[in-house]
Amino acid sequence: MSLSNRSKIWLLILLFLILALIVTLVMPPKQGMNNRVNVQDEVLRNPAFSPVKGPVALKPYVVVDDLTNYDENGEVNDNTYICGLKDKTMEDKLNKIIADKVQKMAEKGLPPYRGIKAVFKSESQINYDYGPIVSLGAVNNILNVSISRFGSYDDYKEEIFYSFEDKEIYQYDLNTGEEIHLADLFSEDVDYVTLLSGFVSDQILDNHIEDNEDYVYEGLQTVTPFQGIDPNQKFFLSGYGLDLIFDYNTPEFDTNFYPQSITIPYSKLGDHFIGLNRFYDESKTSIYDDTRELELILVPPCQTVFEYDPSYVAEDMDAHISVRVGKLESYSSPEVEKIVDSYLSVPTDFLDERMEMAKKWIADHPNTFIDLSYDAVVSAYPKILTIEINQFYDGYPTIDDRFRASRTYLLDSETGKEMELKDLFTEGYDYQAAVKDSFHSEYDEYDMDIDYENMFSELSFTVDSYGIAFTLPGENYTASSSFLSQYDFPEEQPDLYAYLPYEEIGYENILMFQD
Amino acid sequence: MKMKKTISLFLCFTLLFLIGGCSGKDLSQEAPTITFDQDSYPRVDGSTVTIPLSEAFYAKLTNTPAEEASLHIKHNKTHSAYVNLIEKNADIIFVTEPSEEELQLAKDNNVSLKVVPIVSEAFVFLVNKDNPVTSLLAQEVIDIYSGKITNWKEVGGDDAEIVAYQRPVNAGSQTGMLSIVMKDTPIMDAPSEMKPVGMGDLVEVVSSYDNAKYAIGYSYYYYVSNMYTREGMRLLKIDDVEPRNYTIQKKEYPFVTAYYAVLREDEPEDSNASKLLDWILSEQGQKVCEVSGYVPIQ
Repeated sequence: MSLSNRSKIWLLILLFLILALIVTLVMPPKQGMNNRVNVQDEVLRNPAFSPVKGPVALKPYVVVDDLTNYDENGEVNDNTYICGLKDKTMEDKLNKIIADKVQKMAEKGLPPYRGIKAVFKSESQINYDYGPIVSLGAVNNILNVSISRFGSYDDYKEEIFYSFEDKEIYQYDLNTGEEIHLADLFSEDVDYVTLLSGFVSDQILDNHIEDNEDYVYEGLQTVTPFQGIDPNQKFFLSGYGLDLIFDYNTPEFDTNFYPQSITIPYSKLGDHFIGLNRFYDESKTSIYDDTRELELILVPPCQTVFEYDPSYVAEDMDAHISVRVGKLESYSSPEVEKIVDSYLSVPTDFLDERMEMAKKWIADHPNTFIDLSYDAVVSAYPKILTIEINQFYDGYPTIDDRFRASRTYLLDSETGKEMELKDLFTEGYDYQAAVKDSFHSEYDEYDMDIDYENMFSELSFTVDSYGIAFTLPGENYTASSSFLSQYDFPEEQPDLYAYLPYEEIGYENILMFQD
Repeated sequence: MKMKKTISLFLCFTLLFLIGGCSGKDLSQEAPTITFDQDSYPRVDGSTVTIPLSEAFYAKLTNTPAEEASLHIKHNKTHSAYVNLIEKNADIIFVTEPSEEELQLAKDNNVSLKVVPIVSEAFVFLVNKDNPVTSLLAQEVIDIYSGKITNWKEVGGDDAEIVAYQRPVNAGSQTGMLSIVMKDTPIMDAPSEMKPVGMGDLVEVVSSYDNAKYAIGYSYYYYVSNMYTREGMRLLKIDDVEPRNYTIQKKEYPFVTAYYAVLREDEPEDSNASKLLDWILSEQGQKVCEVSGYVPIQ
């Protein structure tokens, strides 16, 4: 049989490709770089979930529940299984999965942390070993199951002490019992590995851990240049954001025998993060039984970025002024940004004057120091911007003209207009009674003379993800001696504080939780 | 005839490819010239950045797979490593040069240190690839960062202000910038927005097409050459020398430094630590350094 010239060429090309493939296969991999442990090559998406395309809007709050079993006294009875679902079959199914995972964890040996066998010469030297400890919780119907096992090596003679933690984390859909992977939290039209790797890279480098051993993010240092997250990176969902867990599976890092995490706030994950919406539909009937009291936590729609002004730091003397301004990454309009800027503007004349006073004090009082801080920060919550201005001026030993001052403002995030306390609540809700009750519960034991009827004109307030904080300035009440005896400077009547969790107020009474 | 010629040429290329692919002498893959077992391997310590090196040495010399080797190497950071060496809790450490404090500690403990460079490192400068300037003199770099040169036209570029990025004061590469490049010349003050907090930020701002055509930043060669390969970024030649493994190794590139192996001076020549150092400096040891992503010293 004779082959045509064209066939011979194709045959040769085929031979060449086969040889090239063989050469590639026999060439050894590069040593020491990026050898992930247990990496699964395939990106895991659970086919049980219907595909979702972005964008999706960030919800103003997340719904959390610890799914823990409490006894009649409100104490945790057992936290190795979940309870509180309406569907008891589903509950049993998930508890069986949890029990199996716990058993698997109990049978594990030393976790393959970098350097661990240099410390633990053999498992028999582990003096202390307990666990697995199970931690359970749910965010928007996603069950987080965290199972940890601990051990330590204590050599008192050599004064060498090491401990380790091995942690496995799993997520399940409380509606179906299906396992949820990192990929399932993102719409299929986004490269979530690149997206998350970018955040991790930023946060790692922001902590100066790539090349500096003084300013380390203790316990998480890059050993080799970071190449990106594992598509199946361990993760945890909190009320605040997505925690990516780094341990021996990410060999670019030295985590020092403990898993470490980097949190990416929900607001930064963009509108292709579908994790908060995919498994929770508030229009549907709750999956929880009537015994559960779910907690709603506000999700900041935008992050605060801090800037420090180093011009007030006097390095050659013991007068230190710290000036920090926190601005938002974005605003609803330039007009609102301008309004916020006016609140955040630093009173340089005032600080200059204080700096001169501080220098004079130091010159007159050797071996002392002065500390002044000026902090102006805006934070975003659904429909609201909070602005907090805190000033502090004192020295060591303490000085006569020391002061501490705080002011808070709440602005409508759309208009920039200042809000009153009543603006936080739905119509008809008796917020004044609730506020008075919270002060009563805090201070009644001290027998104080607080003018409850007229306190609201003097009351300042601010919000966070969990509730509303109130401050009544010191000049607006008459303190009892038993109360003042707790303070170092009783002649300076302290401000009074109270806090009302949203849960206590009732979510239906708070405007931030309404659409 | 033409077809035969084509086939011959193709066969030659195939042969060359196979020779190149298969017969190149890769010393890092050959059997080690010395070997240790887990117990005889010297007690090592060091800085974080040298962990991959240390693991590669262990893997090679104990014939252990890389992943398993990483479990046997524990570095406790630079200062602790020096303390461990001085207090005889380690036999050899892989670190940067000893500080004054560490030298004093050694002296206080009547220990002399043997400090031997094992791999080279360099300080490199990054510009946007659209910037026509491809090379600077070492003195021009110093002048830019001391604020003496402020426009690219002064160094043969466009008439545009130089956007000179720095790192925060305590960042490691800022320390390197001061000690390796600026030395006695004070560095200019930079506004906070021009002090990106992270190395990645620095690379990002310089490589961005939109706003940083006239930016300049800096980093260590190890990180830039391994971490990011952004299309928008270019490494500058300094004194007309490109930062490459061979120019850094031969110290043709001006801003070079090193990572070191440090032993106690009285370490016997036939001890395992001394044998390890000899092997690191051998052709095979240096090849292992190179395969691990570092620039060999020799």
